[in-house]
Amino acid sequence: MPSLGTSFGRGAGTTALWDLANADCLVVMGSNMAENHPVAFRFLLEAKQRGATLIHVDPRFTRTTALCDIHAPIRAGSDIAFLGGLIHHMLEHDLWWRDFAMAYTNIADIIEEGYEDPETTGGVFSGFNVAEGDYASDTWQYKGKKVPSSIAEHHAESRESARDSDSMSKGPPPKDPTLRHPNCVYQILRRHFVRYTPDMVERITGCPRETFLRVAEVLARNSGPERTGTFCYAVGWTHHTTGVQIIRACAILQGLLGNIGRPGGGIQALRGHSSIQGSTDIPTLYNMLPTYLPQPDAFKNHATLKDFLEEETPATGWWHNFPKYMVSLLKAWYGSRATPVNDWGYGWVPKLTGDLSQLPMTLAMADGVVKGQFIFGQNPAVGAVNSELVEAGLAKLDWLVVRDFAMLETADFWQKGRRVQRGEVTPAQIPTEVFFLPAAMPGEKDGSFTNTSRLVQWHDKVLEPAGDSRSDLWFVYHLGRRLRELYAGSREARDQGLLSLTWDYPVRGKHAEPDAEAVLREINGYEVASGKQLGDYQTLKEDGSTACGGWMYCGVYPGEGDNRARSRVPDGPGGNGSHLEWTWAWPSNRRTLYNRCSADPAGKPWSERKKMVWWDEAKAEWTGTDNPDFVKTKRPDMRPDWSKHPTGMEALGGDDPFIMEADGKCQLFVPTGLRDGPLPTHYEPVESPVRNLLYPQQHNPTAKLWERPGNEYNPPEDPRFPYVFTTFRLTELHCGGIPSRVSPHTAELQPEAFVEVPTELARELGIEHLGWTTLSTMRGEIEVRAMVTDRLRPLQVAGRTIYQLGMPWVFGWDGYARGAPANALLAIYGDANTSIHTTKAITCNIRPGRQQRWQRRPHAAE
Amino acid sequence: MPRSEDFALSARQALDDILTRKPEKSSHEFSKATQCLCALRDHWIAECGGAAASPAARSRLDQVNAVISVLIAGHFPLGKIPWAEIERSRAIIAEME
Repeated sequence: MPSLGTSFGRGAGTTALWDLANADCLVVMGSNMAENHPVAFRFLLEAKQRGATLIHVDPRFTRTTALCDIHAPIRAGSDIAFLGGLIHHMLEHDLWWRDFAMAYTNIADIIEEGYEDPETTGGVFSGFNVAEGDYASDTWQYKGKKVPSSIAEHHAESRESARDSDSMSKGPPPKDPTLRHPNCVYQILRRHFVRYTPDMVERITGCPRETFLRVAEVLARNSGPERTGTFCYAVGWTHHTTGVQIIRACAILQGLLGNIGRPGGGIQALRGHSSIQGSTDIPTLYNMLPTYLPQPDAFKNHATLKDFLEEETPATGWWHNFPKYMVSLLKAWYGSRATPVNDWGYGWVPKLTGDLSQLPMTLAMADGVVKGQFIFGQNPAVGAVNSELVEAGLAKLDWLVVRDFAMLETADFWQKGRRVQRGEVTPAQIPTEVFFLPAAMPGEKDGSFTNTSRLVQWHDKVLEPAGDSRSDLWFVYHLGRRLRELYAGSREARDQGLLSLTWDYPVRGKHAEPDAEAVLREINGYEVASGKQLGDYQTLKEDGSTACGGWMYCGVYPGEGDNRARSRVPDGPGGNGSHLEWTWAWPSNRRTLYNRCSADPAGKPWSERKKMVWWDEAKAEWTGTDNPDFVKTKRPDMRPDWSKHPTGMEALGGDDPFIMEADGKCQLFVPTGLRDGPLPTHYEPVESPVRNLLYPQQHNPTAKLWERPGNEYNPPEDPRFPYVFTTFRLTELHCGGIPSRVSPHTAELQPEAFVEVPTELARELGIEHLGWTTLSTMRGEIEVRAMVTDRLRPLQVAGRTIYQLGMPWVFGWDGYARGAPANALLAIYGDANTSIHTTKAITCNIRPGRQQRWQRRPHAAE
Repeated sequence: MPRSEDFALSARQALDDILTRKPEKSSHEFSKATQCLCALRDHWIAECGGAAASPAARSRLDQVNAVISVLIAGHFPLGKIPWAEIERSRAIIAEME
C-alpha cells in the first residue's frame, strides 16, 4: 500500500482490529466487511453498542449495510469524488482539527513555485510527460528541498534517488503558519478540491446530496480531541487504476481530522486473505526484499552495495538505518559466505529489469517468455482478470506446478478450461506438463499468519497431512535442497547465489519436515558470533555482526524458546485493552501505529477519553497503554540542531510522530514516491459509461494500459457497454472458491454463479429472476443466471440513469458449486504505482437468454 | 527446419521496428519482438539440450536470455525505457544472423 506508506510512513493498517471498538464513527467503504471480514466486523458492532455511528459507502446494499446506520450508495469507481467532497467540506466549513493538523501534518509546508494543479491544466499535475504517460516530481517538492519518500511497499516503482536528500538535514522545510501563502499545502488543497462540492459529488457518484452531507456531518462531529473516527477499506478501494489515490484521499481526510494514531482513530486496511499482510512483509511480491527493503534494479545506480545504499538511504528519519537492515538481511541469507570483500553477497541478489508483477507476466506468458510456473494458494484461471488470456498463457508453458488442497481450475484448464469447452483447442494441443501436488491444510502444519493489524500469530500442527500432502515449507525447502544438489560444483557466476544460501534448517519426522520455528528465528535475527537471538531491531548493525531475515519482525523471537507469536494472554477485565501479550505485532509489538499523535506536541494526552501514549516527565520517557511508536526517551520539546546538519532521527523533533517519513509529518501532500500525482484526483475508470465531469482528462493518465488482441478495452461511453459492472466475494465460498466449492456443505449455500441485476433494469430488458442472462465485454461473453434484486439501485449520474451489475468472481467449472468465471469479462491493465488490476469498475452489456456459443467475442474486430 | 540465423533475423528485424518507432508505451512491437526472441531462445535451448552442447551454444543462450530481460524492461518498464540497452541488444542479435 504505497498510499499509506507515502502518507504515514508504513504500508500497513494503522490500528489493532479490537481498537475499532473505541471509535465513535466508523466508515466502511470499499469493503463488504460483515461478509468478508466477519471476525473484525464484530468490533464495529461493539462500537455501535457503545454509541458509535456506522456508515457504509458502497454501490451495493449488503449484509454490512444492513447493520450500519447510514448507507451512502455510490457508483463503482467514483470513490475519489466522494472522499474529495468530504475533504472539500471539512476545509471550506473549517471543520478540520487545526491544532492536530498544524502540528503533525505538512499542511503549512510550502511547495515549489512550479507546481501546477489539475484545476489549471485540464486534469494533470505539473511534470507530466504526455508521450511517456509519466510524471517528474520536481515541482511537487518542498520549496528548496528534495524530499525522499518513505521506503514502503512498492518503493521500487518510484524513481527518485535519495542521494539528493541531504537538503532535508540542512534545515526544516519552509512553512507558512498563517496558511496564506498561495503554495502552502493548505491553499493547494483548497484550490485542488474547490469543485468537489456536494452537488458535484451527487452528479459524479450518484449519491444523493443529503446523504453525502449527513456522512460529512457525522464524520466531522466525531472527530477532535474527545472523539475519533476510523475508515475500514478492502479491495473495493485498491482494485482500480486510481486505487492508491483513493486511499490517499482517506489519508488526507484522517490527517485533517486528527484521526490517526489515536484510540479509535485510523485507517484499517482489511487484507483480503489470512496472511496477505505477511506475504507483503516477508514478500511474495517481486519488487521487495523482506520487510519492505527495495529490490535492487539493473537500471538504477545499484551496481554495488555501496551504490545501492547511497541511492536508497534517506538522510533523515528512521529509514536512515536502512544499511543496517540490508547488511543484516544479507548475513541471514548468505551466512559465512557474506563478507565485506564480496559486499556481503549483494551481487547475488537478483536485479530487476522491468515490471514482473502478475499482469505483465500474464502477457509475457502468452508471448512465450515464461517456461514454467509454480502456483501456491492461487487459482488464476478463476481469480485473475481476463481469465481466458490466463488460460492461453498457461497453455504456452512447458511445465506448471500447482499445489492445493483439491483439484482446481488452474490445474485442469488443459482438460476442462473454457477454450477446451468451446472446442477451440483440444487437450492434445496443449503441451504444458502439469504437476498437481496435494498441499497440507493449515491445521496440518506449523507456521504463522500475519493478519491485517500486523499481528504475527503462530499456529501448531494438530494432525498429520493426509497421504502425500505436504506443507509449502516442506516443498520449498526440499526443492531448494535438491536444486542445490543439482548445481553443486557449478562455477557459473549466476549459480553462486543459490549455492551460497544458508539452507540448513533442521528437519524432523519421517517426511523430513523443516522446523518452521527455525525460519521464524532467522527472520527475527541473531548475533552472528554467538548465535544469540536479538531482542529488537535497534540492535541491528551494518558491520556484519548481526543477521536478520526481516528487520520489522525483530523481537518476535527474542530468546531461545521464546516465540512471542505463540503468546495468547488477553487483557483481563480492567485491562487497558491493548492486549500486548496477545501474540506479537510488528514493529516492536506496537498495536497502534503513529501513537505519538495521541498526545499533543507537549506530550500531554489531547483528552482523557482518548489518551493512549504520553510523556512521563518523572521517568523522562514515553509511556501509556501501548508501546510508543517513537524514540522512547526523546523529549517532546527536543528540536533538531540544524547547525550540525543532523541525520536520521536527530533530524526529527520530539513532536514529529511519523518517524518513517523524512520530515516526521503526515504527508497531506506527497512530494515524492507516487507515480500518479501528489494529490488524489477524480478520474473515470478506464471503462466508464460517462465522461469525466471535472476534467478533460478522462482516466488516470498514468495507468498501465496493455491493450492487444484478446485484451481489448471497452471505450468510454460506448453504447454497446452501457452498464457498470463490479465483482465481489461471498462469505460462503472462500476466495478463489475451491476450498469451499469442493465441500458439499458450503457449496450448497451458494450453489451456482449469478449476477445481481437491479429490478428496474431487469424489467426494462425482460430479465427474469433466476433466468439466464448473457454478459459481454470486449474480452468475451459469459452466461449466468440473474439475481434480480433491489440491493443495487439505479443512480442518477451526470443527468442520466446509470445501472450497476454485480457478480461474485469465485465460480469456475470445478467442485459442486459451478458457474462462469466473472473474470473472463475483465481486462488486463494496471495502476501506475502497484500494477494492480481493476475488478471493481468496468463496463459491460447484459441481455436475457443464453450465450450463442459461436460468438465468444462478438465485439472483437477479428 | 529454420536455422538459428533465420530466428535471429526475425528477432533483429522486430527489434529494428521497435527502435525505428521507439514507442513510449506498451505496444504490439514489443510483443512481437519478444515472441521472436523466445523462438530464438527455444532454438538455443534445443541446441544445448544434449550432453555435447558446445560452449558457444550456451553462450548464445545466455545472450538471448539477457536480451529478453532487456526487452521486458522496455515492454513493462519500471522507469524510463532503456533505449541504449535495447540498441546494444539489437547489435548482439544481429551478430547471430
